[in-house]
Amino acid sequence: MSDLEIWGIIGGLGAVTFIVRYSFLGLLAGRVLPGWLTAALSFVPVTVLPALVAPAVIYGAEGDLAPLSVMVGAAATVFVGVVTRSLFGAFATGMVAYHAVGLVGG
Amino acid sequence: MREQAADTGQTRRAFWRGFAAALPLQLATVPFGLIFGIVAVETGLDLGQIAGFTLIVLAGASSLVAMELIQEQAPALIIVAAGAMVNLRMAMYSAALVPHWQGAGWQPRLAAGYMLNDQTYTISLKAYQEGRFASLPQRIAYFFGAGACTIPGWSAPVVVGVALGTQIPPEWGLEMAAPALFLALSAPLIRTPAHMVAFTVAMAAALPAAALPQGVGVIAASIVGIGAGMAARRVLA
Repeated sequence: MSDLEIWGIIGGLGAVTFIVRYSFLGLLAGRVLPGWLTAALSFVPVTVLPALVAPAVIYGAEGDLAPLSVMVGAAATVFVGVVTRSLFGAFATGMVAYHAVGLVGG
Repeated sequence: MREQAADTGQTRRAFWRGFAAALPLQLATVPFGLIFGIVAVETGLDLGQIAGFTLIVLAGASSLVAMELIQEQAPALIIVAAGAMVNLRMAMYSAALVPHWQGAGWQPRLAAGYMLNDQTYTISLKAYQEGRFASLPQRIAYFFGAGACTIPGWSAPVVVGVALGTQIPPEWGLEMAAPALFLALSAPLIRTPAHMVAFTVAMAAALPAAALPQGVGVIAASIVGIGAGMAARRVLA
């Protein structure tokens, strides 16, 4: 990818992110977010990020299943994240589980 | 005159209280910044471009998503769209601040268009809802205090990550670190059965969707997940 394209991505992503952040504070000032849209937006973070990692933590690099250590690490991260609501706790547990299974030879 | 000085003092204190409230949360940003720095170097970005993502975009998850998709040679427009999708949640934050910022001038609103993120939103809204600040300048100062903490909190680990760069052996778990981070970001937001449905469906849909052009699959799977969540919300509510 060319340098120009990378800068295009930086500028484009910077601009759309600004628009999203500024949306209701400025551009749409005074408007109330409709209920259905609030609900839809609340599903965005729980769908985009998992969709991004799903192929890597389930399929692995060569098209067959991911290493057991990666699957266990991912499952542990999700479990701890849902139960404790702690970003750091979930991340740390997932990494420990991944390395533990890796050491045993998974 | 003396009254005005007292106001200024209170506003300044609110700023630093916001800064202090954000401080412990920076622990969560450390692995994030480190991984972004390392992955950005691995992706082949130069220092200016890494600084651009870090300080212009100023949104970690979407920047990391962009790195993954740049590595996969996805078209630039799709990368911007996928990153925008990741940041859409901030529209919700923007709407949530409005009732507490009634009467704020255009300058703080514009600046919030830069500094609004998961942390500044969470910290500020909590304080506002607890009614800790009676005056608007204090509420605004508190928000920007938190923001002033999150910018170095995010960019300092990026600098360390860039310095480490490719010296990190893959055995250290970078194949797991980025996915674990994304899952750790989203799992705590699963608050209702409908969110669990959306999460599970999005992951399942992402597997066949991976066959679509790079980046499109993520957006498609996310939309399918959101649809499933909305449907589940109807049925379960």
